[in-house]
Formats: sequence, C-alpha cells, structure tokens
Amino acid sequence: MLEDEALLVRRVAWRESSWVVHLFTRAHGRIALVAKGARRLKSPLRGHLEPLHRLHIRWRPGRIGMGVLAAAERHEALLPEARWPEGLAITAAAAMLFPEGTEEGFAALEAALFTCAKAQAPSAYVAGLWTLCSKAGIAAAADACWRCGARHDLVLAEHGLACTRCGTGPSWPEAASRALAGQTAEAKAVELALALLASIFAAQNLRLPKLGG
Amino acid sequence: MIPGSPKALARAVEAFATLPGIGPKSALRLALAILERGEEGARALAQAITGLVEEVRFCRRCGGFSEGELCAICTNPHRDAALVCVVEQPVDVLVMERAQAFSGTYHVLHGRLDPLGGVDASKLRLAELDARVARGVRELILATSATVDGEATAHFLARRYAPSGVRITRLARGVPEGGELEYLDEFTLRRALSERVAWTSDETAAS
Repeated sequence: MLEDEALLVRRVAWRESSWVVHLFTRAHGRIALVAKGARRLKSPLRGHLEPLHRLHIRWRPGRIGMGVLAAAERHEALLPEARWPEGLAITAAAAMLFPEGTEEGFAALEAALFTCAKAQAPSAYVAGLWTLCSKAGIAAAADACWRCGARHDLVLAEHGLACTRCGTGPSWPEAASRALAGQTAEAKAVELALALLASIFAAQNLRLPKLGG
Repeated sequence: MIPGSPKALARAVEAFATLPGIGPKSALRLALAILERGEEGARALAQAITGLVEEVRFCRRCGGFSEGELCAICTNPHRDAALVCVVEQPVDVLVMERAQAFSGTYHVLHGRLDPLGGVDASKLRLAELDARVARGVRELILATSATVDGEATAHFLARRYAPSGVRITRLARGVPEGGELEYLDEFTLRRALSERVAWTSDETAAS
C-alpha cells in the first residue's frame, strides 16, 4: 500500500458506480487510480474526491493496469471559494500540460493555485496560468518577443499576438506583463495576457481552457 | 445469455441490462416478469415507455420537464416569475417541488461547469437565462450542487448577473432536519458553523 499527498486533476465515470481519478502526487508523479464505488451515495470516498483541495490518499498499485484507491481524505482548499472557477480552469490546463509519467505536476499546480489566490481579481486566472506555463517550461521571458527578443508594443493578430518586428512571435507589452504577474485590474491588460497565453498553448497544440469551464 | 433461450428473451435481457442499476441477472428477472404478465401487461409497459420519450420534452423557458412548449410551472399565473431558482438538472425541479415551499419559477442549466470533464459555459442554458434576467428578474436563487463544480458554477453565475442589479442568493447548507451531529461529516459541520445564524428569541419571533 502506498500513500501520498495529492491533487485531483481529472475524474472520469467508470462503470456504474466508480470513478477513474487522475491525481498529481507529491512524490509519485501523476497517477491514475480506480476509485471503486466512489459514486455511490454512501461511499466513504464520495465527499473527498474533489479538485482544488489537498488530499491525502492511500492506494494499491496495480500489477499490470491501474492501481486501486483505498482511502482519500480531503484537507483544506488551496484557494478561496470565490476563485474556484479560475482554479478549475487552471487545473484543467495543468492536466493537459503534465501528462501521465511526469513528476512536476503537483508542485506546478500548487504554485499556480497559490498565485491565483494571491492575484488581483481580474488577473487571477492569467497569473495562475502563467505560473503553470513557467513551471512547465513553456513560458518565454515576459519583457520581449520570445522569437526575436525585440521590446515593443503588442499587436493583436488573427492567430493571437504578433510581434511588430518579426511578425510571428508574440511580444510582451508592459500591461500584459502586469496582468501575468497578477498585479492589474485593467480589463485590456488581462485580454492581452489571455491572447498571449492562448498563443503559448496553441504552440503546444493545446487549447486554453475557457474561464467558466 | 443462457444457451437455447429464445432470441426475443435474449434481446429483452440485453435491452434491460443497458439501464442504470440493472445487471444481467436483474435484466433476466425483469424480462421473465413481463412474460408472466402476458401480452396486455407488456403492451401497457411498452406504451408507457414510448409515451415517455414521445410526450416528455423540455420547457422552452425554464428547461424543465414539460408536455407542451411551456411547463405547468411557467404557465401557472400564481407562480412568481420574477423569483427564479437556478438548478442543474430537470430532476432537481421535481425535488424542489416536493418541498412545497417555493412559489417562484425555475431555470434548468442542464449541467454545471466542469472544466476537468470538458464542460464549459457554452454547454449550459445561459442564453435563455440572460434573456429572462433582461426581461426582469427580482431574485436569482442559486441551487447548484454543494460540490466544487457546483460552487464554481454558482460563483460564475453570481459574477455574470451581479452587474444587472438582480438580488443573488444561494441555498443554505448545514445540519439536515432530523440529523444528529454525531453522524455529520466534517465539511457539513464546518460550513454549518461558519454560516451559523443569529438566534431569534421566542418573544421576538412571537411578536
């Protein structure tokens, strides 16, 4: 039997009353486990398998296939309830960026949710996502175009953000940088930062999860 | 299937076994019970099932179960149309109505935000709710589930409709009627404590 601290990142209904849960664990990387009977009304696992909360789990690793979750205990939430829509979208992004077999998911998601909790309200989502991208190693320097290195104004192009010098890569206006750092309430800055993040995700062939789902 | 059993019986067992909570053994029991009832009983059951899918649809306004364009609640002149209770599923309307304590109307989202499962706001019935709020709603009661997804959906809706000036409330959570503290889970207890209400003295209440 193994045990670890974990964060739930995905939950898929399996058979009639079970879940297959994907978890980022602190010491065992990303794992997928069968939570047998967890969808039953009286299951001891039912109220515990929730995202955005620190979980303590015990499981039996599978000899060939998936392991089986034996116990889960939900501890404190990693961010206030008012930030849960942002937190869920950040968790969905983390599930894409850190596939099975990766080790860093737990620390990255924990840091991203912490950033989201501390950031100013309108930029909480982009700030959390930015931390996640940084931890995943796909974020570029925040003060210049990540292709040609030029520092100048951002241009919104059809495909996302475009650098006015090289025409392809995104550049980084100061306003967007402030939003990525969670330090602005300015709607335009948040919009620019979101476009920038969408470009970064698109470069990885991923779709940025929408806020509110 | 048991070897040598008639094809029609095998088909019926297979069909029943696709329903939730019905395994192959229960499916066989159901099929045999129908055989025992005879042709008339089977026909009545078949008619009830066909009627279910042919006659039950969703209300154009609230999204709840309905037999016509609009449901019985939306067309009832005694219901307060400016008081709207937002729920996740049509069955939640039936559950709320069982309490016989609500005289407003409903709005069914047909889901809740679940980014981890790929459900975003575009998959919820929000355009219809936008239109209702624009036409004039006094209060929105957010009756989504007490889960992280349900809570996130409630926050999302509150943010969306707060600028329109509508009063937004949330279903209270805490100790259930007849519930003993000993059997309560720690989450419910914590919530009950943090959202405790001021005691109204008997005399104040009576006056």
